[in-house]
Formats: sequence, structure tokens, C-alpha cells
Amino acid sequence: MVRYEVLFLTAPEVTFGEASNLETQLRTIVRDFQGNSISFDRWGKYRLAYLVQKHEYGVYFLFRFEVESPVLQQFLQTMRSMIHLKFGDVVMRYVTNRLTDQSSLIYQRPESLEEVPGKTTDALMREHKISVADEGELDDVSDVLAEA
Amino acid sequence: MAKKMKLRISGRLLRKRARRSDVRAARGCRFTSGEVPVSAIDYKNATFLRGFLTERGKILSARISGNATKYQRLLAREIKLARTMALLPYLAPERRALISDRRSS
Repeated sequence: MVRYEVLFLTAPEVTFGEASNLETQLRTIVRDFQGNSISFDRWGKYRLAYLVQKHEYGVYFLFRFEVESPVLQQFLQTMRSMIHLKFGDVVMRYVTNRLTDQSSLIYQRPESLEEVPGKTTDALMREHKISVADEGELDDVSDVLAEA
Repeated sequence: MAKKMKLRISGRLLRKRARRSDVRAARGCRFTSGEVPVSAIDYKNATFLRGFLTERGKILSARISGNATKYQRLLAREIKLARTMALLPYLAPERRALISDRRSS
């Protein structure tokens, strides 16, 4: 068995349904070729190092599997055509990489934007120097509205 | 009256000697020495690979990072793979360009 991994870079607006559809399709192909799917990890949303198809952000997925070496080329061809035909508008980029027998399945990845705690509303308002309108001002507005 | 003793070593020589003793031993390769596991060289580990790039996004030379040729080759390959996947930049915007952009906007 040869162990492989594919890293997908998808558009930031990828839905849960599309992602699970991609996963099931990949797992089906692997099963058709008598291989084993090892894992399908969602890394999360990332700010890209440069614009890809005019997208500033992207979502990464890592799929790992193993197949027998005689059918490997045919398998990769099937997988590529499936990605291009069915997920052409979702998957922006992907890269296939062979894993050595010694390499462990544990890996490190950069921290996703979803893992970094977001800013609170107060902090955001302070940063942009937005102040909440005073109660008096609000009263004025309501007066104007009442007159209208 | 005792005669003033003349310094046997000149100030310039003393400074030279001090400078020589300050030179630290050349740092070896961190992967060969086992300080950092080779498995860390991975295109997915972009935060680690970023340490081998200049501010502009170019790959640091082995002369600077002290990497052995074997690991420098590996690193370069993984950095290029990470660039393909937009995890690392091909070229980071120049600081001067950024400033002029801000001024014009």
C-alpha cells in the first residue's frame, strides 16, 4: 500500500454540504480502488499569502489515504478528473504528496483564523473610534421621527 | 624618578585581540545536530518554514541559516510547495511600496 495525502484549498464560501460531498466522493473512489481512507481533516479558514482567484481567504482540507501501487496512477487520474468536473468551482488548488512509510500521521499546521479569538465589539469600536450615540441624541432622533 | 614604562602591546593590537576572542564558533546545521527534527521540514508547517524566509519572502541561503546542503534542498522544496498552496508568499510586498500605497489612498 502506498500512502498519500491531498491538501485542498477551497473557496472561503464553501458550505458544509459541499465539503461533506467532497469527502464522500473521495472516500467512494478510494473504496472502488480497494484502498483505505485514513482521514479527512478540515483545517479551517485562513488568510492566504496572496490572492487566489481573487479570494483573500481560503479553507483548507487534508485528505489522507492508501491504495495499492499498481492502481495508483489510475486512481490519481480518476480523482483529478472528479475534482475538476464536480468541484471545479469550489476547489481552487490542490496538491498531492506521497507520505513515506516512516513518516508519522501527526503534523503541524499554522493556526487557523477560526482558532484565534476574535475581537470583541467594544475593542473593535474603540479601535475605529466609534462611540455609542448618547441617550440625548437618541431622544432628539425620536423627536424628529415623531414630528415626521 | 622611575621612568614611565612603555606599553608593550599597542591599543590597536589589544582591540584586535578582543575582537578575535569575541567571534563565536560557527553554528552548525540544526537538523544534522538533531536540535530540530527533520520531520519539521513540511510544507504544511508554514509557521516553521517562515523562519527560513527573508522579510521580502525570499528563501534564506544556507550560508545564513547554516543548514546542511541535504536539508537546504528539502527545505527549498517544501517552501515552494507551501507557496503553491498560498501558505507562504512568493514575494511579500515591499515596505516602501506599502507606505506609498497608504499615502496615495
